[in-house]
Amino acid sequence: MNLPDISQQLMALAGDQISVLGLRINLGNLTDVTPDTYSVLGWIVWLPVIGALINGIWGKKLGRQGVYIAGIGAVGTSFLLSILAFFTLLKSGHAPAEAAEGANASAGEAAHAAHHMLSFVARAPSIQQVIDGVKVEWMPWDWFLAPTGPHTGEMIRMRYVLDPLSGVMLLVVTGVGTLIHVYSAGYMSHDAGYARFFAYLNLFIFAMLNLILGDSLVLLFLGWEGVGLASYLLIGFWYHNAAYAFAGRKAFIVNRIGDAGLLMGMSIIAWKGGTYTFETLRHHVAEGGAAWTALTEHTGLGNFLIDALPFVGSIPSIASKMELLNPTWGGLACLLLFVGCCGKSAQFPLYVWLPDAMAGPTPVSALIHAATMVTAGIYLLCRLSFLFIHFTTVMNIIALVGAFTALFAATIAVTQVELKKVLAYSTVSQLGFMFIGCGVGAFSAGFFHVFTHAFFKACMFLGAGAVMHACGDRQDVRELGGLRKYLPVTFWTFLVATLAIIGTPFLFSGFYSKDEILFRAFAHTWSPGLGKLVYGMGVLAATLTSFYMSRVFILTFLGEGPAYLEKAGITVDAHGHATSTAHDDAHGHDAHGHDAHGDDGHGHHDPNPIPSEAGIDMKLMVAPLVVLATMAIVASVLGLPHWMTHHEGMLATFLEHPVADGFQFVSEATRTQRHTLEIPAMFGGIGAWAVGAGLAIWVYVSQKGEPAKRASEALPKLYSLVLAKWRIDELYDLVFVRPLRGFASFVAIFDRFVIDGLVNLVGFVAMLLGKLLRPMQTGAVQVYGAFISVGALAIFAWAVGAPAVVLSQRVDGATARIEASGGPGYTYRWASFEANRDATSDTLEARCPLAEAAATALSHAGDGSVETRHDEALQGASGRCVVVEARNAFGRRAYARALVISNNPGTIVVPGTN
Amino acid sequence: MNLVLLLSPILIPTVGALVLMMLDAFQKEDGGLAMPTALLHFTAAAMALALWQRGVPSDTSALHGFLAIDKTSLFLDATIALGGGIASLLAGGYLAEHKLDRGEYYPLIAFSTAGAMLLVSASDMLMLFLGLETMSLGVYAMTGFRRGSPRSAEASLKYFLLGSFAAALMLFGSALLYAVTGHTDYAGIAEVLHAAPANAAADAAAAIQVVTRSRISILAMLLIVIAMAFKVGAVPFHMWTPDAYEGAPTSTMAYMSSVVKAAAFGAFARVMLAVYGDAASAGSAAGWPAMLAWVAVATMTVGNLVALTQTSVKRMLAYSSIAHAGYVLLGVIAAPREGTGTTAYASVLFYLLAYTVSNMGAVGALILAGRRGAESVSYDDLAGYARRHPAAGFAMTLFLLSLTGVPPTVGFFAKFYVIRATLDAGYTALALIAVVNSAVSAYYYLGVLVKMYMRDPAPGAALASPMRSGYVTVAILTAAVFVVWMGVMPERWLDLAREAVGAATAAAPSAATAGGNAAP
Repeated sequence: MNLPDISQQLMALAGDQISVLGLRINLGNLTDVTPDTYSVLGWIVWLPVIGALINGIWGKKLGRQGVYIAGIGAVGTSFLLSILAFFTLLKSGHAPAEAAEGANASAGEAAHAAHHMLSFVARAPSIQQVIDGVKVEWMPWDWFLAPTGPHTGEMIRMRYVLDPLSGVMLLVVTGVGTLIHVYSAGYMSHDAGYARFFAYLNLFIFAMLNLILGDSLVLLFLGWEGVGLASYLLIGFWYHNAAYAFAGRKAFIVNRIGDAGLLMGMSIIAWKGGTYTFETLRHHVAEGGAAWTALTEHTGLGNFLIDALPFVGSIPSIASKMELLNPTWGGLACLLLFVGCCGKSAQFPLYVWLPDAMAGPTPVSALIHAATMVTAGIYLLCRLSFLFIHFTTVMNIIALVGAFTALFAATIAVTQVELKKVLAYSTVSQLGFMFIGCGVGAFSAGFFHVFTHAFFKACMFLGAGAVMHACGDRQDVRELGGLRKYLPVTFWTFLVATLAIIGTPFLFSGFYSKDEILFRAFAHTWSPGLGKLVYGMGVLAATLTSFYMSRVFILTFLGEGPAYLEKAGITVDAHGHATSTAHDDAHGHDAHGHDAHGDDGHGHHDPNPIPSEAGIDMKLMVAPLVVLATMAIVASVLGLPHWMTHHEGMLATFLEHPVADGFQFVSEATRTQRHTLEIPAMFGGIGAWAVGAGLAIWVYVSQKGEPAKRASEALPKLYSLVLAKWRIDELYDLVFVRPLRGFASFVAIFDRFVIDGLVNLVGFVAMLLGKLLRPMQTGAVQVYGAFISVGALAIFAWAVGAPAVVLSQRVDGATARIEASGGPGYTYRWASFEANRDATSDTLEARCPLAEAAATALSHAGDGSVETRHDEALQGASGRCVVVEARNAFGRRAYARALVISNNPGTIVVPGTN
Repeated sequence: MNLVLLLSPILIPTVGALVLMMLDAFQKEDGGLAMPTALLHFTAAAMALALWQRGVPSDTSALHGFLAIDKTSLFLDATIALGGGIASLLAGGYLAEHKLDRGEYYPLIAFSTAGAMLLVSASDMLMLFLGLETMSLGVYAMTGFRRGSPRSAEASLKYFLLGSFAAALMLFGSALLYAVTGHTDYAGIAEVLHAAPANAAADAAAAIQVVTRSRISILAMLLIVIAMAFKVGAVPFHMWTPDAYEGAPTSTMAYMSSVVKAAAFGAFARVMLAVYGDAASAGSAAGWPAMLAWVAVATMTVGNLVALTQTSVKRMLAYSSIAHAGYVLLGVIAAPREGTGTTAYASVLFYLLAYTVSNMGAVGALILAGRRGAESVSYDDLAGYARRHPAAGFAMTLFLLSLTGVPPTVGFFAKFYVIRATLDAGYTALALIAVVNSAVSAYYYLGVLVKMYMRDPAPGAALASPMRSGYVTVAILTAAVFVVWMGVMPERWLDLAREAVGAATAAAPSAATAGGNAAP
């Protein structure tokens, strides 16, 4: 081996290690679509975390500009790369002709239609090409071997997969994420913690991308917890305010309940389904092999509970019902996963954290608590739709929970007066709609609503943030009003978003996505009755939505100028110049008030600013609004209904492979028949829109809010109950928090007197030891030497005086092989005798009494050998007892016994005693 | 293969140390040797990797059985050299900052590293002893390097006296083995001790039992176990560690707690598996693993409990290093198990590397937090530190999280693998105790984070602020790269460790477990 040789080796080694790291910059890779080396995905995921690290560590040194560049740059680049990756995904599909061949005619037709519609977007990658399971992936390394059973495991790979489902989600997350980062640059311009804010926001994007791109439940869980952490940090962003910090904690804790469900569901899937990986699980479900059999076994949960809870089992009427509680393992897993989704996606009864989460900065509400994180539950359902679709009971539960949440949250939203609170309950309600879609088997319809909702709800939240920013952090609609004059861009974009969410027919995306969900509920296949019920609840919820969103819009933007200005006695002339009539000496109310407001950055807030979109911060804020409002209209294209185009919606077609559909189990004829219900079902949605919006206009425009006042006076109790959000928080406080707190104070007593006592005892002993040792530590090495000697003596004593032997056994045909554990210098004497056939129990002591065993072993002739194995023939109903005497090199003995019974393969083996 | 090349990982620090001495002698001013020393170490690590990459020759008869240059020793060589290199960089910052920068420190590190490599490569009791002493003598001197400080001198003297005690036990054990078997090399000893298969007929075994059942060979085993337990700092032979660690200059502490420990564990596992790896000696109920299980329980528990009560971060790290020795022992205990043993052995190597980088980093971050005359050693010193200095605080956080065992840092997987190996080998109770201990340890590690992020310094107290040292920064960055890298792709590194021990078990006579890659 000469020197060049070595250097070559080192070079090779270095090259190897760099490729191990996987994050190399390789321009060739940008266009290379070899599926498993598409490292662009790696950059998409990792850029935000790099941004988070830069802002988190060096944020203070970078200054505002630097933080904005790092934060927005990381996510923006990630978004650009996402677009690239998405087109790579489209490009990597088969040629359309191939795809169409063999497929049925309508699918082919749909393919071509979709193809033509999209071909204006880019040179040709047809959306249809990727439908049959093509994906782009990047798998840099194996992560670790995760157990799936006692002696089985599955390698969890750091593997990011881009398929149609994650592709759409990726664009939403990075796209909306980028817009909101830009917006935040304006919104946080007064806040000293901007670097921390951007670091958290980037961290969130990173976690969310892990969630959607990860190919296994483990990676999904990693992202799931990551977004939870980011959400907690951001809700409590202004942690000096105790209420905000509390809201953060509440979100975190409620989410833990859901996460426990997710974790349990995940464990069942790994244990019974034998895998954590989505694709493998999908194969298992499709092939119907052993794993699928295991998943469809019944759990016997009811009987288990009767056994576990004897006081319940002792009541026959309950016990007989409990026995019926016998879900399959797969069903139970799905239900538990759905509990996780309820937590993250704020469904009843775990929705309570989301309204409180509005304590966080408004961009956070828009990004995390409206557009992306809260839709993770829907994403998980869609991702595992191939599994959920087989458990119709769980699906029905999902639909009902979704419908109830949609309706329930809508009623609360009607009475709320804070802008963000209304939007929060509206988000809960809209998430309910998405769950209705999933629950009735229309996963792609639910997902389409995720898509459209992301735009219009983000737009509304950001609009609300712009209003707050411009109006001195006011968000009570009673203090606002007439903002149309002051904030024209915000007004128009908010109008578009409102028209979208209330489902204004034919022009706005919200109409199409909500309509698709309602139609699928109406045309429900496996339980039509439930479908009609859910449809009814959905229409009612939609009516309420239409009413309260119109109400909020009217109160905020229309009518007379902002109430708070009138109260302060400030009037504004036609040119936006303010004249104070009440407080002549009130400085800062001049025409430059808002400019100073935009520039000072030190939080010298004018308490009553004149709203305006003039400052640079407001410009940064309204630009994303325009994009989002545009998308709220354009997104319609992806989900035009069947009756318009005579094929499935583009998004649904696109998602056909990754996302299952309830319709896939019904015949073509049924499907066609169901499609005839589209137009009747649509009238419900249009009716809801017309009634809700009409009512709102009548009440708040024509009558100036008088009917609302009268209604609340007529039903004061109901009104205050709804205003207090049905007192669900109070109910939880009564049912969960107080008992827990009582239990906690009991535990605290226990803790104070027992645990603390123990801890103090440990501390005391440690102190005592310390005190004992301290005089010896000043140079008295002899003591240490003495310790070593004592330790050494203990080891000698153990080795000489405490022999031990443990038996293990293996049945091989008609023979049981008993094997004794080894020991240095041990010899063994084996013996066996007939087991006691009159024994009343099966324990070893009853069958092979110790006394008899020792006597047999002692009477056995011979010096003993180094033989550690003994074969015993399996014979006789009562079995044989095998006994061994082990003798160590110093003459000490130990015994061990084993019972060998032919019809009892689980032979009892216990360690012997002297 | 050329003998010089084969031995190059050991020769580089040896020759380098001599060169460093010359450099020091002809240098007009002290200082400036840190970088050459670090480069020396990193070159040795690179040579070990190059040898690994090229493939270790199966025929190493030129070594006459004194040394085993195989992938196990190369893996450990690289670990030791990496640790030594980081320690040299830390010394470059620490000694200069605290006005201790005298040139002889660096040859001492290099000699100790050479000794450590000899130790892990030894396949003969004589070489084992030689390596042990070469390594230890350098470290004794480095411990007492703060000449003006009585504590430092006291620490050094204690370490030296007790180290001699352990060395005597080791020598005594080796002598007994030689008396029984007539061999000093592992293979020869094992051949005589286990000449006949364990299940030979009783009459044929009569002659063998003279040796196999010989009480003297068992006594020798116990003596070797005790001596090695001393070197790895296992309870109740750990008494010297807190004193020595605390009295020593902090850079020496980093070296002692990581490199010396890794080398001692490497040699420990090798000698036990090679000489006493047979089913009788390594029986799970009565053999040395059962004995070590008690030692491991005591080591983990005592280390953690005492660490809980510390107010000095430096002393806490010393006690926590005892606790970590307990976790590594779990892997050693599981290593002779048939079938799953190789993975357990691999988990030991993985743990040693993981602990080396995590602990080096943590000590490095502590060094960074102390300026001259204001060395931060206590929890209170660090109050509010991370809020004032986010980057330095983040470094400390990263390494402490790794020591705690929080994913995605390497510490999590190090623990995960040894505990898994323990479970696979059937020591369920032991695994549970380890998990509980690991949970306890979170208290004192995270206590530092609480201080750094959430507490304000007492009024009037000196504010800890990071020293400026390129050496320390580079050392911390190097350690951080490994902590994160190994944490995000642990399976690759475990595979390397598996490859390392696969070779060892195939070559060693105790090859009962060879080829038993236990991955299900």
